[in-house]
Amino acid sequence: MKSSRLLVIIFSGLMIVASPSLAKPGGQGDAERAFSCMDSCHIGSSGTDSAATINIELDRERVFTGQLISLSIKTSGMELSKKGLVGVFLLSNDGSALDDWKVVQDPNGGNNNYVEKPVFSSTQGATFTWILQAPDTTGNYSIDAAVHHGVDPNPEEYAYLGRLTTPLQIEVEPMPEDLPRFSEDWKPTSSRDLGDETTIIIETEDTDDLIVEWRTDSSETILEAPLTKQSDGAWSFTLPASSVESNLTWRAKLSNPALEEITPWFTLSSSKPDYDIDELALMIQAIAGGILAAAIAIAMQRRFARPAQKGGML
Amino acid sequence: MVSAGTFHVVATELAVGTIALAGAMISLRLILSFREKHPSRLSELCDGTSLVCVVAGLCALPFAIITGVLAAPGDGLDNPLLFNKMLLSWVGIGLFSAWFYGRFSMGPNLWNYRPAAIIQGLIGLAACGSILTVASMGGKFSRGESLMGPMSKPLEYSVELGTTSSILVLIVSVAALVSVLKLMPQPYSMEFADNSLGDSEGIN
Repeated sequence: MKSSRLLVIIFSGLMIVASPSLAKPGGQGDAERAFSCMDSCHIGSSGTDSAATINIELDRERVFTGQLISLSIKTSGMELSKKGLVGVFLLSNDGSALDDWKVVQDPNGGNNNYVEKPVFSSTQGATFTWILQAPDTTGNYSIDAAVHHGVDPNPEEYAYLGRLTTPLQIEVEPMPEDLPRFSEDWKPTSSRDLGDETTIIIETEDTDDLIVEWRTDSSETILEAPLTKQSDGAWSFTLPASSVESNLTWRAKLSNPALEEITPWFTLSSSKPDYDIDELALMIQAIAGGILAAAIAIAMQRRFARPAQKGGML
Repeated sequence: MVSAGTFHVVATELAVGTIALAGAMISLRLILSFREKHPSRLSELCDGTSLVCVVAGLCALPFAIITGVLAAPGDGLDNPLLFNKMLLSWVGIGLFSAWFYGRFSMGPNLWNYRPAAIIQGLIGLAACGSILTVASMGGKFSRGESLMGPMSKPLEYSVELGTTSSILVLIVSVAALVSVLKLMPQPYSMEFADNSLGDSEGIN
């Protein structure tokens, strides 16, 4: 009996001291992150170099304070995990998250400097496009990019890390007076449910005229959206519904007699409505299921688990 | 600051580890109950270990559920897999509670009486199965794959009751449990005695 107790104690002890696995090959999720693998999904600083080539592209030659710009990271040639998930960081030169630049729309429709997307072909790679708002102060800024992924198979659980060879240098100039632009607090709509039309209201500054163009990701044809003037400097337009999961992109051409400004392409994703459930209802349903299961199990015990000689069989 | 996700990993591994061991011990004890005339030391060990593991698992499961809800990405439980994980977790808790109740009320000699051993074993294995399914669904949710393979497909769909219906089901469930506990004959502590069970009923 003593040895039995000892074994039970040893078993229990082994279960308690077993170190938990923290591997997250499913990724870490989009977030505001600095380039550090310490809180990442693999083995901290023991990552290894990625074979990825990384290029960074800016959609314009001159950048003004507060202007909306589009920045694309093109990466290819990387090793790929079974899931093909690749994480891309947009960083300051020191590896911290972008502080001076405001992320207006990330490649997944959020506002993060780190995003993850599945990449299906290492050769073709993928392009991750951010829409950023330039800093309010002029000066020279440096934007760096890094990628983060796994490999299949990955017995050592290495994190493969790649970084841009030369960070992109951007000189932010003072915004010209009267540059037509969106109002400071405008935010893009990034997603919608399938089958829903989307009406977007744009508030502008120093803008006399506005043209909105849109296209689907399956077609290069650019169409013009009819505009409705809401008030001075404010317009609305409606983008058509989509019946399949897809992306629609649109951009605005703002102008006044002196200047013209073309915004980056904003992305509007159509997807199935989110699975939404009342958590209270779920908890009640789950607890009810547990109690019902217990009731059935105890009923079976009382019905069948009795010796006939003792009586009481129902 | 340690995230809820890290706590969830710890709580889950503790719960799943103890419950997997409980499942193995219950299976072995059930097999031994068919083979042994008198409980051996191995049988006693299996019984004791399974009891300890079930209690440890029952203690760890609520922490695993709570940290799982807190660690769920996005706005709460926005995935049918998470919904079904929650449902099956509670079913597992219910079945393990019944297993513990049966083991506690009937005593260790329940394994010497074949119907009791079979029912107790099946309840324990069903509970283990539900919790291990929950664990497998966690892999499906986070990594997109699980040991269940295509069998996990049905668990990607869920049947949700509204709040009102859930409350009604809860009332019915509580009424069923109270009825079982109050109206059905009380279990009694089984004592091992070869002759009292008889050849046709005992494990002879």
